[in-house]
Amino acid sequence: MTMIHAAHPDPERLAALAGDDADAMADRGLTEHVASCASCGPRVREMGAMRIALAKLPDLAPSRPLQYLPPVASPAPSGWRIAFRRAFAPVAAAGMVLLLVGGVGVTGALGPADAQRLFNFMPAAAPAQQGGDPEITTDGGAAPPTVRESPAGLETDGGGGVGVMGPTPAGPEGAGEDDAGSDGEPTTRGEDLEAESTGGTGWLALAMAGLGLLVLAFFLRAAASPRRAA
Amino acid sequence: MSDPDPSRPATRTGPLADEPAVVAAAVSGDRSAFARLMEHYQGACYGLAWRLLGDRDLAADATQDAFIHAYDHLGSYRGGAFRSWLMRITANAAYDILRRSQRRPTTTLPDPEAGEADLPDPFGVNPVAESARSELYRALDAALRLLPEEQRTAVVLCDVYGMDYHEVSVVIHSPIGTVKSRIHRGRLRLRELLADERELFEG
Repeated sequence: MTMIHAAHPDPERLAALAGDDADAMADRGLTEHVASCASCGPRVREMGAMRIALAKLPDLAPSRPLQYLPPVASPAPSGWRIAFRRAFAPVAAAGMVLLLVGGVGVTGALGPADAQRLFNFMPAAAPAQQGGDPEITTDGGAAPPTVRESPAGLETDGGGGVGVMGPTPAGPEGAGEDDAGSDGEPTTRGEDLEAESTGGTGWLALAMAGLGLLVLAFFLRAAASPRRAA
Repeated sequence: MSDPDPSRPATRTGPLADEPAVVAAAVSGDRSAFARLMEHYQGACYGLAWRLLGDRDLAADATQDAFIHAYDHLGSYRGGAFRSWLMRITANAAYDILRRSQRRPTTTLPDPEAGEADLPDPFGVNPVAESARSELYRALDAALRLLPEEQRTAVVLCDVYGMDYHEVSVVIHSPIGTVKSRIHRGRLRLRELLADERELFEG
């Protein structure tokens, strides 16, 4: 027999009861009301039936194929591979820097003017020179007389010349032909060329070292990379 | 009337016959055993994700995320029903996607009553399933889509997938009192939405 109640429970309490909530089911006032109320009883029963239907909602086929497994991770690289990989960047950077600095140095040391002077230093180039600037001497006192070009024509100094890179005696005819250094001390053209030649060699060595480091860096890189299956 | 195609997921996926052994093998690192479990439960996971997200692509993404997470955390499986453990992971993955999608500009959900909703057929193949059960499921899914998102999430996790208050509160990061309130209000709203379909439940 249903009864008409003046005050109905909070609807959320009815929903809780429909969901078999432990607190709601333990509430005797609520359960007795629902059992006897013509309005609340059907509401709870409807929500209960709805819950049963919701619990039976079927599974659904995925909209696209799924991967059941993550891809297999590649094995961790060994210690030396990690070391090689880490060494690649600094070695390559050092090689680049050395190559760059050496290259610039070589270019500077053997720039157009220096190359011209070096060209003039060579015996084969002597006849082409107009200024008679450098002396061409042979090594040792027993050497043949030095051939010297001057505006007046070819001269010889009698064979008592000094070595190629040695200082030229300050003779009456030689003093004026010596270059003066920046500090005012007289130096020979041969000394300049020797120094420049030595400097050029140093720059070249630097550049070659840089190149070597680059090659080493790429070797490290190749050695550190994992081997690929054929 | 012919029987439904047994390959169609017409209902909930039950456990594998040899599930304890398969789960043990998967936990010990057998990838093929894990793949077998995921293949078996993919419909369950996808169904949950779809009911939370309402979008097929997002649901597939969530399911895929759940598989990866499950694989990575197999060591945390402490026994019990494997399906429940996997469903909790799926619910978390779907809820993460739901929260991320809320941070982006949102679009209005399609209205299932206007025929705009992305509602999958429960049987997966035949869009014109005539059985009363199929009709009921479609009505339920359509009504769920009309619930406010917070209520829908709580009702789906609790009433559709059987999680208790505590499990739901963990998934949605809310106190149990909030969870209860959302579930109860969701049921009340759902009852109103299904007022015209009442005979389907009671049949």
